[in-house]
Amino acid sequence: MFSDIQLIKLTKDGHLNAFESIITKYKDKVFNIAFSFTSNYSESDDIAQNVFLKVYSNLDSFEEKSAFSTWLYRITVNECYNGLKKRKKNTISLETEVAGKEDISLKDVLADPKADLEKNSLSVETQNIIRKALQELPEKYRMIVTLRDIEDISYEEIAQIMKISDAKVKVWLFRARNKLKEIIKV
Amino acid sequence: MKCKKCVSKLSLYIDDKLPESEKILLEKHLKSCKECFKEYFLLKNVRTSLISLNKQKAGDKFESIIMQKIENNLYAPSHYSTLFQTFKVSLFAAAFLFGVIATFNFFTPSPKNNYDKYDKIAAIDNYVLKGTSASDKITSSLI
Repeated sequence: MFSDIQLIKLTKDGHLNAFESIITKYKDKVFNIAFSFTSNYSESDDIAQNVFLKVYSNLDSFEEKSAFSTWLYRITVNECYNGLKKRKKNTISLETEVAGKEDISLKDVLADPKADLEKNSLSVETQNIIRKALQELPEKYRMIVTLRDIEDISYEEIAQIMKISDAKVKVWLFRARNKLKEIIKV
Repeated sequence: MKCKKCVSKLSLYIDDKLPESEKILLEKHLKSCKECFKEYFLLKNVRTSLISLNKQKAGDKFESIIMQKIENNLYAPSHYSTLFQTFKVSLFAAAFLFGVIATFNFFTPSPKNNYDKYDKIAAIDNYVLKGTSASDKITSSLI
């Protein structure tokens, strides 16, 4: 099993199979971040593809100062923001693929925190409501919640990925969760 | 601990990022304050719900689509970045050279010019020619 750095070196030496291994390792994480941000399959697919193509064409600029995953996620975050800009530019409001009832109370929607997460699976309807609420968050809050709560990335790595201070990570996360709570509550 | 402070610490508490001393104070407050406990419960629920969201997966052909694009030479590795790097180095070298020349010129005393002398001669010429006519000027120049 090769490490990320080894796979990158092999890719730079012209071994395309090594890059394919990188894609296989990270494609679902990248896609899931994009999907949490956009709630749209085709948009997420475009973003994820762009991420890996950018990674490939900029491999030389990866200086190994941070982990490869941090660099990859930073590109993912940037691509998500770029995708959003394109969407706004096109002015055609792309309907998110999330749909659901809006008049459901909080206790109906949220998971039981005591429940075993492995066994716990939210209903499709509940998932749609949570994802719809996510879309109502400002983009920076949506991204920070995605990285922390959905992808379980540490505070320190989030700070590096989003290029913000550790203190800001704490503040944004606090605001994002509270906002999300208020959105779902309504 | 007051309610306002307690609520502001809940997010960190959920992530287990509070120092032990603050954690004890907060837990003590949560036991005695129903409102804050409710806030904690709701916030914890939000996080649990987010964690429980189904992970979305990229398509089965995802790798092959990207590898196809790469193999079609649509995305040459590091070609543009190398070009950009070369451009940056050249630009830096040119700026450095310009700086050296500018500094050298700034500190080197300029050669003494004879503008003052020329101005005086021009003034005398002007004074002499003022009273004479054009034909006299031509004549005097011929002489």
